[in-house]
Amino acid sequence: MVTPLNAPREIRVAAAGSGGPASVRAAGRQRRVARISNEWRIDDEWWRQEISRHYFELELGDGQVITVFRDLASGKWYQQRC
Amino acid sequence: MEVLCLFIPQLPLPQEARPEAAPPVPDAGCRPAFEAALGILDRFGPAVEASATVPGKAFLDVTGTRELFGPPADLAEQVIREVLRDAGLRSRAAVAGSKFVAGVAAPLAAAGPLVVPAGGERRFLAPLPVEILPVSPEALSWLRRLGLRRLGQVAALPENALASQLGAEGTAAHRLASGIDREPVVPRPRPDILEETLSFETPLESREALLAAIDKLLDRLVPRLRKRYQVCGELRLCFTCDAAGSGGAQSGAVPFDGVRPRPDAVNLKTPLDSRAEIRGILKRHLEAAAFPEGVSEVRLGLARLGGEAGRQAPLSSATKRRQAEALQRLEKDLGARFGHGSLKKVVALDPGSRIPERRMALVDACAEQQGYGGAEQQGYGGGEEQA
Repeated sequence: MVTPLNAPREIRVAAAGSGGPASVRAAGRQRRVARISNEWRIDDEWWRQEISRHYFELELGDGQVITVFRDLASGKWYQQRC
Repeated sequence: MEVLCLFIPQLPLPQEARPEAAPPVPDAGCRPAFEAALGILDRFGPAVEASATVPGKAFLDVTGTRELFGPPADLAEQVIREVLRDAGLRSRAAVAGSKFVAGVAAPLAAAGPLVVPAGGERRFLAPLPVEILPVSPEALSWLRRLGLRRLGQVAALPENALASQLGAEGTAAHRLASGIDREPVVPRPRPDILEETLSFETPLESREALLAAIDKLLDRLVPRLRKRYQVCGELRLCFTCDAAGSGGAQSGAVPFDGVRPRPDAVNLKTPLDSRAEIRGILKRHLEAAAFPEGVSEVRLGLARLGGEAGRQAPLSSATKRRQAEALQRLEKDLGARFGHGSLKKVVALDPGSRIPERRMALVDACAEQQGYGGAEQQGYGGGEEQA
């Protein structure tokens, strides 16, 4: 069996009015997003199960940098290393 | 893959070359200055490629060098600094996940090193003009006729639409515009031999003196070999002797020929870069060969140079066998404790994929030997990484 490494993990995100993350629940607590340092889209594999993601690289209030994405098909948020 | 592109906007031309006569090829008279810059890139990694189409542009594969040189921006800073300090050339540098993106970004990095993050290639390329695509004038003209001015517009088209109109060139253009480029950095060809010579006013008379001379030559040669991240597969040793009475020179025990492969050159069973091992082989060879007296010159060459991949551990070695046995024991113990298939191996599936979870995977260590290409991939949403 092949088990992908770095599989996305579902994460709770509170979105701002613009659609970007305002705060995330990470390490058991709600954390404020200080800055969105980068964002990009991945749209791929439309010929089978389409992958459509909006990625955000976030700087949290304590300086930690994480990457999250919104699955545009399901609307769910995931955390993933990029 | 991570690629650093170095771009030198203004290469100095040799004095005899007039600007209007300088041909627009990378091998113009500016080559020595550019070679110096390539030599500096060699300090940071083994795969350095000079661009075949753009003078003053070179690529360095920097995959896995973070532990050595820090984040890509720091590495690029260091490269620019050393090119200025040691070659006297002002340069620009960019790091990206592919040659194409790094090559496009480097000339734009006038304000400092530019790093295009993994997954951000398409976004970076989107506003750039279609003229940077390496396609034929006909293909470019077709894109313009459709009103496609920016790479983002090309990337937004379905790939098969471009492929149906432009064939393979259309597919390539779409992939490049989307930031997908799996072209590896191809190391440039280098001379296949490193050699050094020592001459003596007083001819050497003993094996010990010859061995000391060989030590000196190895002190010069082995660091050069290692700096190139290479191993050598053949040793070429030549003694020049002052023949008694004649005054002429003759070859010694192991003749040297820098051009033709000689049957009496020392072929190594395993390519080496270890000074101690090379010295041991030469010492044994020296002891076995007929010793020439009155050696006035010793020349040593390291030949059949190749990459680290050329180094092959003997399959039958005791170490290899012990490792295999230890692994089998470990697998058995883990199987008894955690169930069958608990030992996994990390494999690269598609390292250049834009989708992070498609790049690396875990497979059963035993299944890996049987092939895992057809195995079903797991979906995401709760996938745990195991080790």
